[in-house]
Amino acid sequence: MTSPTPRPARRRGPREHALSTTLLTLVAPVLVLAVGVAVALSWRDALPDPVAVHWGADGADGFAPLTSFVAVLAGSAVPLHVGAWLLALLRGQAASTRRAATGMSTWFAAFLVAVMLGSLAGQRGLTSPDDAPDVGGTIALALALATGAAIVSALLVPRDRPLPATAAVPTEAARLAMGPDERVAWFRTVTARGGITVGATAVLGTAVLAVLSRSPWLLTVPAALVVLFLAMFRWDVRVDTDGLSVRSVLGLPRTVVPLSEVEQASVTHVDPLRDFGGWGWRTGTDGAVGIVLGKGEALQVEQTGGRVLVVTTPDAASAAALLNSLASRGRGTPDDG
Amino acid sequence: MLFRIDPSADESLFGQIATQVRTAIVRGDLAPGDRLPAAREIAAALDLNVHTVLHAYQELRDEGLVDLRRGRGAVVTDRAGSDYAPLREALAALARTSRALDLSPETTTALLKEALR
Repeated sequence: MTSPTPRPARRRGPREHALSTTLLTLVAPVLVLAVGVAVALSWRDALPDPVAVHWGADGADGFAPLTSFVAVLAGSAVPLHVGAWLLALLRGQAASTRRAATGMSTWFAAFLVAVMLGSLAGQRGLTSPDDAPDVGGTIALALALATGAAIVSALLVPRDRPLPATAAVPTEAARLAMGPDERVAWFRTVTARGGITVGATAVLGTAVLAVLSRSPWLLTVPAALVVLFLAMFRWDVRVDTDGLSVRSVLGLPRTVVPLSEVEQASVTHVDPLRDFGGWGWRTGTDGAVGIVLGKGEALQVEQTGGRVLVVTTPDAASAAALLNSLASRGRGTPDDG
Repeated sequence: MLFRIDPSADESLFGQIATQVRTAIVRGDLAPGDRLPAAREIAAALDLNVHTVLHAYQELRDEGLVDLRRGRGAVVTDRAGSDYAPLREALAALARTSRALDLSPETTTALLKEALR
């Protein structure tokens, strides 16, 4: 067995998405935050002083002046928006990374503003913050609104422009011997391994918390996590004349590397925590996108535009060889067929 | 799993697909419970008529190697988990001997067919 190819040195793609990235990942969420802060402060005269800022099982149990509350919330969010923006700008060669960063940044702005305004709205006209109504419903509504806003913002992120490769697939890249009339395809269904325990723990933990806090609204969190894990759990991977296709068995998310954009396919070895910080659909520190389901063998595809896609799967060698051969064939350069 | 078809070969297209699944099972690359790709996926990927692939799947089902279930597709049966190691060894020995005697694959196959009568 050939030794796995190391990850290529990070290559940056053209910075053509800088404007849309900045607008969607940084400017829009910060604007939402600013509007939320302005509205909250405009309610000062109608709100008790201090306002309720924390709720326990027996109602409001934490209080703070309005300005501190608003400042802390907004202040803690700003680094997140900046971080997401930098990630998308500097490591967002792949559209999926930019979408994830934008979605995350938007989600937080929308969630924070919704929770802030929702919890304050219930206190308008009150003289004492002790009477502040329970925020369970507000949180559930905020979760739904934030998720909706995140999805919309992620969809607004422009997709990667088609960028066909100009160079041939390197001659030393592994290939599959194919007859001139032969048609070949590779299929594999890959299932998550180690991450299951982490995922199950997260779902159980949040469900227990929701029950203990006696707020049934919070069960939306473990419910959402279950959907997320189902999507990340099993994937159909295919190599054919359309290129490499990786698709969750739920249908979404999915990604395609067109044959024309394949620079080189190879076999690599992945450690989920070390290389991608976890399991599922991840972005690595160099901007490589990984569909990482366990430790071990993986198919690695270097794509035009500085993009790299890594998919953990058995029999990666056949997939890589086929992808290189098909890509070479399409490019009119001779392969070993 | 690789699927390859050669329209210029003698064997029928559906036959080629069936042969590859059988070979994968004998080699142990496919185990009982493994699900084969959906017929329309293979058909789309290899530019074939979906009925060609279905024909291959039906043949494999008739041989007891896969179960065809609505909604689940073709699943490798327990029966396909038989110990094929002796068969693999016999095939390897046949190939070695045939090469040593400089026999063509066509001749070897013809002799094998005779032996199986």
